Amino acid sequence: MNFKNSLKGMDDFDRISRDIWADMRGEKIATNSIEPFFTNLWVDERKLFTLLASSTDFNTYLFDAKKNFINYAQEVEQVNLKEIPPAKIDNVRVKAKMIEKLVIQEPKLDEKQFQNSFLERLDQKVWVNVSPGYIDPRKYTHHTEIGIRERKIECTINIPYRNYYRELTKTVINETEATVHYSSASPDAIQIRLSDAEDYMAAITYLFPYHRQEAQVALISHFEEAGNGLTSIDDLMFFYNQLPNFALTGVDYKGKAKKLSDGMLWDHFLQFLNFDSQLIRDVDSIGKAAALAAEPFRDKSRYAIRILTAISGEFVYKKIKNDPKLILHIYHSLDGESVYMGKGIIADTTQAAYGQMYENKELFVIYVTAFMQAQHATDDAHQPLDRGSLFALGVSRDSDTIEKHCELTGYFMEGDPNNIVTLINTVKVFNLKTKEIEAENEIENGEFRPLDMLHLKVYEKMKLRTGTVQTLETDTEVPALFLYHIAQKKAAEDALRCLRVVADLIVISASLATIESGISGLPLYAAYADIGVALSDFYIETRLRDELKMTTRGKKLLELWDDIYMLQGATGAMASMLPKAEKALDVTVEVLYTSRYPRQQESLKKLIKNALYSFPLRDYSKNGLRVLSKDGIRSITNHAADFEKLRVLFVENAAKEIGLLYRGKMFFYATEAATRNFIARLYKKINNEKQLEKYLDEINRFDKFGKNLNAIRLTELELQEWIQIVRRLGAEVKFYTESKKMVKYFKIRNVGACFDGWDIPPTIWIRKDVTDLEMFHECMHFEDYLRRGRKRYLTGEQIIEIPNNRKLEEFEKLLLTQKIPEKDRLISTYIKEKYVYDKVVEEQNKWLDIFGKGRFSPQDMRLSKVNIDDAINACKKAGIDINKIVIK
Amino acid sequence: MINKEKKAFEKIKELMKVDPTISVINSFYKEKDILRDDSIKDVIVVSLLDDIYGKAFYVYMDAETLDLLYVQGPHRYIEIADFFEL
Repeated sequence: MNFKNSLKGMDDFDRISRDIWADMRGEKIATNSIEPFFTNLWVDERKLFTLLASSTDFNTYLFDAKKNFINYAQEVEQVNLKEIPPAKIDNVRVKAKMIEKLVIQEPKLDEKQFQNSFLERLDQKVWVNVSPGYIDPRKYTHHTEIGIRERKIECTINIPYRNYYRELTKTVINETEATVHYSSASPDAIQIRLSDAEDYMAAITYLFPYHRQEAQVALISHFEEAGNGLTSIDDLMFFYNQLPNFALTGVDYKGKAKKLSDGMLWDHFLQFLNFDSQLIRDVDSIGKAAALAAEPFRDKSRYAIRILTAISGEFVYKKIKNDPKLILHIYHSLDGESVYMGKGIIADTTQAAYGQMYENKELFVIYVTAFMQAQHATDDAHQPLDRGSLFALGVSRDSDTIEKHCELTGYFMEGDPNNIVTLINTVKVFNLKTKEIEAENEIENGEFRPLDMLHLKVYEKMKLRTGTVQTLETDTEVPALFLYHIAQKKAAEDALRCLRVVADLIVISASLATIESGISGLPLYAAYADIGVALSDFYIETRLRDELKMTTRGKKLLELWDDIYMLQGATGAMASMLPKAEKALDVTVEVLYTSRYPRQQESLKKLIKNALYSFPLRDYSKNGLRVLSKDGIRSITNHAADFEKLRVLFVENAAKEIGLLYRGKMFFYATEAATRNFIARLYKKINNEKQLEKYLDEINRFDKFGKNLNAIRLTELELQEWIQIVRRLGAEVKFYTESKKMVKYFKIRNVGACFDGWDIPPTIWIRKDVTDLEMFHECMHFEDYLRRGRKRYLTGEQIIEIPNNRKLEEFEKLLLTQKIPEKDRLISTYIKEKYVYDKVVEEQNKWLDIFGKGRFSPQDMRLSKVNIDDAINACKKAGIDINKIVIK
Repeated sequence: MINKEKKAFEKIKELMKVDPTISVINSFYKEKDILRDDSIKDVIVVSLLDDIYGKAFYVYMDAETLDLLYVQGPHRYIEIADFFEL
């Protein structure tokens, strides 16, 4: 039926029946009423009626009817209960769809047209929370029936208003209280009948607030029962339209989480998803497409995504972790948009606002990203086969003249048996003075599984309070799916917006500990009341806040955090804006180290710990994260005072790894013993706090682009530490004595080490007495290999041996059959050696600047110089103009 | 000098014939070069490329006599006897 035509020209909405309105919107009419009821149950009437009387709205409503309900001694017969509610108002209300109310903003209609009599008036004050099945038999009774196929929800609360003789009945949750033992002809109770589960909960919450949770749990059980085995989309839609939000986000009941079961939700999720894809597949004509467009609820993705966010992350993860095809199927099947209902997300730019529309695809990506970041970022299974991949997005200003514009492209070959996504990251070097693009380089190119965790940096320009513009950098780990999605959107702003929602979700999930408890992994559309309590952990506690206000430093701390959190009542704070948070963290650490009160220190440690959940700490596991106090730091180093002064934060995780953060960035982590060694070695070169600061500043300034082995810079390493760092980035380190071929090679070529990029994984072969420069030199070859990618790095080298332990790649086969021209080989060698030489010189200069002595000996430096000079000589001799070689 | 460079090149090429893993690329003249023992000499350098790992090696020769002096590797100097022994 097409209602739209009949609406044309109609200006008096009262003339339209509520039934029609409801139908048009795909909704149902809520019918709530108060009726006389006969019961044998007893309730503390005085308490009940005091409560009722305290509600202005309710009083007005009751007394409008000119009946004194308060005086329970009055003869009941004199009360005409039929007058409640007043006859002239139809006591029905069009109930907005649950889904719409929570997630979706449909076409805007004037809500006033849908105002209801009874519960609208109760809305402000009387929220009665009656959940199905919850019965406290000693006080009152309620009864719930959910008939999905009959499209019927019936919740009743029976509230006696006079003394009864009652018989105790044994009732357990989910059983219906039905015993009626009555002798009088007049009604003993009022019965509130509600056709809507949320109204029912509202009534219970008001009248019996202490029973709210039990009522919720019971209602969830009823819905679980009703939802099992539903197969038709219409039934499922009705089910989710009627379902109260807490059944999805979860209720904490006696320390245990209760929500609809993950199994059932997953089943429903797939049904919605497949229904949508089926529809898309079935459309083979314009006529059908037009018919679909006209159908108001064609798109079931909004249901699917809503349900998905309610399933515990771990459950979804188990379903999708080994099934990239399913992940991409879900991604590509989701359609339409939903509304973001998080409260937080504060940013000066690209903010994710409450009520903002989000593509369902995007929400899925965000959901997966948040869960992967919080739980599985460091799992071996999710490390890309091509290790150390680093992607960059946005505009980074490197100097007054140079800006780097990073862009991302991604595609997916449908039908690819491996279900991999291809990502290509390019950087345009833009000269601000000449307004020209000087170079365009591909900095990353690879094929990834959707859940491979990749390193991402996003640059944004931020206007500070002072008016100056600063480039801020968000540094994080995201699954390849995230980058694939962002690549379709082509804008760094989108990435930032998504990352902020991700940060919100991680904070929520971390503070709720939902993943362990099994409550909805990521309650995307935060049911504020439900998560409010847990979220408050993340606030600066009131008492701490008061104390902090008393000092200048404390005030600064509060200002910085307030900048990050939007403090809305008791429930609205969420984190975002990592760069700002880094600054706030820095100041908090300072206050922590200067605080003299143990309790205050504990609160600050808690604040820091919670904040760190949304910080990207690279490979460092956040599991069981603990902030070390001053005493803890002193047990690690004798130079604790220096680190405290410079506000270096020491944390420890469940694996007992100590992480060191400087200005919000983790620059080192290792076991306690290794950390102790690292600091001790550092102090052999450092004499004072100033030098330490210089060192820390330098380490934080390391190259923002590309893959790198920064961990080997500005540090002295034991051989085992070298090996660990190289392995972390996906290469292998082996002693030359392990291979006969290498024994011969090392003997006649007298090298200290040798980088073999042909091997998979790439291998650095070493002597036991390999020197620091030799190790550094080969590691820089490996870094070059990581940055340029295997194929590019090897291009120009002549392959003469077929590896017998693996199949040849296509480009290798080509190289085997052709002779590489000498000029190409010379250029390839020059580029490689030039990269290494530049890095050696850079490292040497940094050491001279910070530590006052070089890392490498003058002899070492001389040999390096002669080598690069000879490479240039050889090029010149071959007629190559090295000035024309552009190193990308 | 061009003749000398050519001769040096041929000499090394002859020596390397037996080693299929290395290519002799070219040779160039360096005037008053500081050698590994800090002595200063005119030298001819023959540039070699390793066909296995793409490393470069440079054979240093006395520009006058074409005597082999030493081989300059990526990390260390190599004695002539070691380098050409197969």
